Amino acid sequence: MKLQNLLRREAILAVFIVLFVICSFFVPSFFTARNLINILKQSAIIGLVVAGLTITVIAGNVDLSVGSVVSFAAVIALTYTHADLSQTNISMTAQEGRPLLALAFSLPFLMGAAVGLINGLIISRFQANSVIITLGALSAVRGGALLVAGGKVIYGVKNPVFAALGQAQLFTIPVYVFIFVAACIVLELLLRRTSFGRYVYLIGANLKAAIIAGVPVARVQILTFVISGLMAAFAALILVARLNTASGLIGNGWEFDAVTAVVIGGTSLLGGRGSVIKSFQGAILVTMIINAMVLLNIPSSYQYVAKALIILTAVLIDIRTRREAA
Amino acid sequence: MAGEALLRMREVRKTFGGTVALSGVDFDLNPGEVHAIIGENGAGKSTLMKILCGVYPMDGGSILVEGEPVRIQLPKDALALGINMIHQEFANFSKLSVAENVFVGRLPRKAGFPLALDSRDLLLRTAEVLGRLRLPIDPGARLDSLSVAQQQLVEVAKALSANLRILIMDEATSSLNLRESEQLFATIEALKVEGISVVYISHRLKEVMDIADRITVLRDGANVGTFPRGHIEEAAIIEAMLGRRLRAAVKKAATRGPTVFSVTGLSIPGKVRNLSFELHRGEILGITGLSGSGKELAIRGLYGLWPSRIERMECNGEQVSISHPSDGLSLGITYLAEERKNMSVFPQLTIRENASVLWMRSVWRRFVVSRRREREASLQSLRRVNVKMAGAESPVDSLSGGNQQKMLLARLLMVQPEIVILNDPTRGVDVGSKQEIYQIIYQLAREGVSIIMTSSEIPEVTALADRVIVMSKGHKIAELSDAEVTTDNVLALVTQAAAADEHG
Repeated sequence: MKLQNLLRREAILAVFIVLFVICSFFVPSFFTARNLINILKQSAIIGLVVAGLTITVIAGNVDLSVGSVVSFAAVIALTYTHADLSQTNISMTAQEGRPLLALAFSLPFLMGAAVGLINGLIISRFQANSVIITLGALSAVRGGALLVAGGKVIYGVKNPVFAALGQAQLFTIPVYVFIFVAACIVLELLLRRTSFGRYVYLIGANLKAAIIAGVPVARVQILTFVISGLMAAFAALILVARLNTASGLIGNGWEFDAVTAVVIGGTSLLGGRGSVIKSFQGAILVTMIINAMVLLNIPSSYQYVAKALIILTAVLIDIRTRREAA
Repeated sequence: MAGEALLRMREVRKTFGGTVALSGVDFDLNPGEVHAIIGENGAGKSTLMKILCGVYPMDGGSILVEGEPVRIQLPKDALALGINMIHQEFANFSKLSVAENVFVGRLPRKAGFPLALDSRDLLLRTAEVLGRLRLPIDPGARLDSLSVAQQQLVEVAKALSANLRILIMDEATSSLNLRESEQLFATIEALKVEGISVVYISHRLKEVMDIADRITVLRDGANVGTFPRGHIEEAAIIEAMLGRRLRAAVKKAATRGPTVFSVTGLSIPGKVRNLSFELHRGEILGITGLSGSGKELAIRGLYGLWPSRIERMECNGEQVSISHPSDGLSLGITYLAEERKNMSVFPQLTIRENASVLWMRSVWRRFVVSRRREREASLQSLRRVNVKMAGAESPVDSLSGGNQQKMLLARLLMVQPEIVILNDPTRGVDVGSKQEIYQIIYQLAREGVSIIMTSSEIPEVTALADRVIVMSKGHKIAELSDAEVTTDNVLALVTQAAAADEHG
């Protein structure tokens, strides 16, 4: 009985462990330090987006603009790290680069927060459907990214401090993996231990009741979108530092992958239930499945179908458990 | 009414989870009889009728139609026996014609053309049914062009058009005005003439006394008596409905504290006109009236939950305004909404998380919530209202309706309010929890908390309140206090007002 409860509560973890063991035995070169670190690296960056999105989804909304925010933030960041100096062909010293570096770090965050603020203001003010509003934002922000990038692919992070964000390692594991884990823990604590976090659950569980109970619904909703925007910008900075490149098309489709991870993590798209740690597990699970398919030389077209099957399974499980609870 | 009974229900029992809804109820119905069932919410009226209609299976007992035992397990079994029910909220096709609604699912086809609708036959047959009920309704009219009352009569026609022997009407007049109710009663008379029996569920005592041949009173899931018309006084029925326990509750002596809260000129366009009142410390103020009188809207408008205009509002002598529930909370005023599921409970969360909702506000500025303090404060409040639960960490859905309602009171009390507004505090609650909730409300008043309340049941307001504002059509028509606060007085006032409206 207890085991059954534990399994139900930790379903994703259980699935993860089972698949991990299977892959380790049957997928060639899966269980190697290099590949496992690879899985972590691949999950970590989109994982930051997933972590932020989770909070928005628990509050009963969804933010589809995150993929575009990643690309806009990436373009802004890279533009300011190498700026016009690329034309003068003079490599910057760290000293000279400092003001630009400050902009490269802060502007993407400002933009992410601004997009979240606008999404949140519209959605909370009119109680509009977040799918439609953020779908609009997705398009507009993508346009902004393409505009700033001028349709080109920008190369080269010239600033060494910035580059370190993507390159530095600790025990052969990239530092940003640790940043990802830390961010998940911080956001989970925000949800579990603060009044803001509780309000997120209350609004997601029963919006009408939250309003009657005097919960500052608009403020909390806006804040959830600001958080998802900020986390998307954060992911973009690391992405740029790691890839050394940015374009208006980077981050394309990330909203889909992020929503997939959130749903697989057991966060209900109807709101009121979920956790960042579970989404974290969801993100790693999806990455691991795709990784195994790559190692097995399964064509990428099938990977898309696989993602669809994963999401379908997760939703069916969600409906099942919901029915049992009722 | 002698002769063989059309329907006999014997020793009908039903439990939901651990709650006994019906504990061996007998119920008889003669041919062509109007038999009313009355009782408080949760007394078992609807459950008994839903068993008769095949909505719920019964746990024990028997049903006999014309002396023959029958099995009713599904709604279609009931329909086959000619048993039909008009629901409070009926499902119909508002964009289709009256005739199509009456014969939906059984539309006449043209001979030889199985897919072709015979509209002429349809209209004729509908006109015939409407004629039997003497209803002046055009069979070709679109349903949504009719008033709600007329749509309800179409439902009756629909039931009559199929082999009908027993018609059950559940709170049929709750949304009708006097004239519309009269039309419905005339229709019921027409049914009687055809030999059709009617089971009439209502909480409007006056109308039950007028139209029913017999009245059966249910209380706590038991039949406490069946009375022929003219053999029982209204007061005796109320006594039978409410039982002894409520009468035992002693009205407080009229020691009125200072005014803590006052409202001048509360108006909601088309619904409430210029309502003013004062609330004293430790007082229970009831706002009552029939449905549609504006009592519930007034209370919602008061708390910023419905757009309203208020000339002046004072709390402890200072002018204040409440445009949002959080304004109310800042003034120490908490509010219980009328719908538990839609407006109050947060499903999927724990009992503790549900109870501490308002308390959270007090730690919002501090941001980080102390789990220990939250648990202690919740438990203290939950114990105070005697919520029966496995533990505060259980899911809120594990509580029964009555315990959920008590949990909601715990939520209101957790922030030590000065004023509590209760909108229908015992809606959908079993009789036992109801008494406990009454005791909690009395206790609060004794502790000096001021209470504004309304209820869908007038007897509940008159039983609890020290002072009552009676509303009709959005107006305050009277204010009763202490010994004047009786159900009879309130009903007399609202019927007078309604009659005056009819003639004026």
